[in-house]
Amino acid sequence: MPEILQYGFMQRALLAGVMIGVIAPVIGTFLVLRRLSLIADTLAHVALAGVALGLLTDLHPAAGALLVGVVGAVGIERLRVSGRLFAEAALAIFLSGGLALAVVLIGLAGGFNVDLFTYLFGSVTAVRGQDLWVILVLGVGVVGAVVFFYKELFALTFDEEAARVQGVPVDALNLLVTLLAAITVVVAMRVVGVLLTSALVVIPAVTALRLAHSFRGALWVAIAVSVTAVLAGMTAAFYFDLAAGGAIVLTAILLFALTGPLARRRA
Amino acid sequence: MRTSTRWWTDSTADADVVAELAHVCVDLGAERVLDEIALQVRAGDFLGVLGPNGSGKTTLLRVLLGLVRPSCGHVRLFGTDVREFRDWRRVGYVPQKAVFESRFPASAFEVVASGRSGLTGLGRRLGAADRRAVRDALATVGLSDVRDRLIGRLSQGQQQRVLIARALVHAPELVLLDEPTVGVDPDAQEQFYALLRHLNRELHTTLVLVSHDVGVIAREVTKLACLNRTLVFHGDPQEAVRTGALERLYRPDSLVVAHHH
Repeated sequence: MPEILQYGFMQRALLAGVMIGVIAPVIGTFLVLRRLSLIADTLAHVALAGVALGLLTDLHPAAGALLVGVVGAVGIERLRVSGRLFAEAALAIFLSGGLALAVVLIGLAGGFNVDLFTYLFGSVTAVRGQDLWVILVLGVGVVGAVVFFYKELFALTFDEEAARVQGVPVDALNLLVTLLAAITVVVAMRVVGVLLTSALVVIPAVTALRLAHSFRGALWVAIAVSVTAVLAGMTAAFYFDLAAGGAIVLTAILLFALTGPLARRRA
Repeated sequence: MRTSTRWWTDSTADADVVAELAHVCVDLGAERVLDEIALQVRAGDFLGVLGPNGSGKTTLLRVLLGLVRPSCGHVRLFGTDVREFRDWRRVGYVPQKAVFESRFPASAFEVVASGRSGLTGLGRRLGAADRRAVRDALATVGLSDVRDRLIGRLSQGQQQRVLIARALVHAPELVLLDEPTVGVDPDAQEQFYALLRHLNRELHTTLVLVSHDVGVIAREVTKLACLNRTLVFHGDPQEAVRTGALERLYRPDSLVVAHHH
C-alpha cells in the first residue's frame, strides 16, 4: 500500500476530497453558464460568518455555515431577481457583508483559533469520520437534485425565457440552484477552505466548457478534471508537505491551462 | 389610421381565434411602448408583424407569451387569459438567435430536446417518444446530420433552425418567431422561409413572425400588422402595399418596397 493510504486521516481526506470533487463542478457548470461564477465565492464568505457564529455559540461550525449560507443564498437570489441592482453589485454586497459579519463575530469569540484557520484555508488532517457523513449526505442531496431536475435545469440554463414560456418553474429552480451552491460551498469548505471553494466550483467547469461536445459531456469532463485535481493536489501536498487546498486549486488551474492548446486546435 | 377595425370585428366563430390582444397597452418605465393594440390571430394565419426598430414588435410577442404584463387591456391565448394559461405545449417560441451564449456546450440534439422539458412532467426523464420527436423535429428543419454537433459550431442559419426545431418539438399549434433571420445569409433565409411555408400550409401551424424585413414579409405572410407603438395597419399584405401603409410606417426615410404587380 502506498504511504499516502497508510494513514487514517489521509484516507478520510482523500475520500472527502473525491466526494467534493464530484459535487462542486456539477453545480459549478450550471453557475458558470448562468454567469454566476462569483456566487460560490460570495456564498463562501457568507458561510464564513456562519462558521464564526458556530464558534461563538455552541453550534457546530458546519451547521452554522449551512444555516447562514442558506439564508444568504435566499437573500442573494431575491436581490438578484428584483433587478434593483446589477447582479455583480448584489454579489459584492453579500461578499463583503458576509466577511464583515464574520470578522465581527470572530472578534466577539476572542479572535482567531486553530479551528477557524482550518476553515479558512482547509485542512486534510481536520476531516473526521463525522465530516465524511455530512459531506456524503449533503453531496447526495446536491447531485440528486441536479439529476432529478436535469431536464429543467438544462432548459433554464440554456435559455431562461424559452424555459419560462414552456411552463418550467424558472424562479423556483433559480432559487434551488443558489441553495445547492450554498450547500456545495459548505461541503467543500472543510478540505479546500472558505477562500478556495469557489475555485473547485468554477475552474473544472470552465475547463470542461473548452473540451465537451455536449452538455452531458461537459458535466462528466468537469467531474473528471475536478477529481483529478483533488487527487493530484492531495498527493503532492502529502509528499512535498504543501498546503492541500492550495495544491488542489493550483493543479486545477494547471489542467485548465493545459487544455488551452487543445481547445484552440478544436476550434 | 386604423384600417384594422373592419377586419377584426367580422363575425367568424371565436373558436378559431388562437391569440388575441384587446386594447393592450404596455409601459416600460415611464414610456408607453405599446398603445391600445387590438389584434387577433386566427388558426392557420401567417401573421407578419412589421415595424421599425423600437416600434414595440418584440414587446408585442413578449406580451403574448405572458413575459411582459400589460398595463391595460387583455391578452388571451386559445381563449384563456394569458395569466391563467397553462397549456404551453400549444405555443412554440423562437427567440432572437442572440439569446444564447455561442460557447454553450450543448449539442443540437440537446437544445431541441429542451423543448420537451415543459411537456414531460417536472423531474421526469425524456423517454423514447421524446427522443423520436426530437429526431423528427431535426429532420423537419433538415439538420439530422449535425444533431451531435455543438450548437456554437453550426452556421447562423443552422443555429436558427435548431431554435425552430426546439419550438416544433412539442407540436405547437401556434409558433411565435422574433426576428429570426437577423444575421442569416440569403440562401439560408430562403430555406428558412420555405420551412415556414411548409409549416403553415402543409402542417397548418399558425405563425406570428416579427421582423423589420419589409420585402420578405410582404411576400410571405397571409396577414400583416404594421406596428409603430400603435397598430398602423392590420389586414391583407397586398392592401398594405397598395395603400402605402408600409411606406408610411418607415417614414421619413423613403424605403422602396419590392412588389411585382
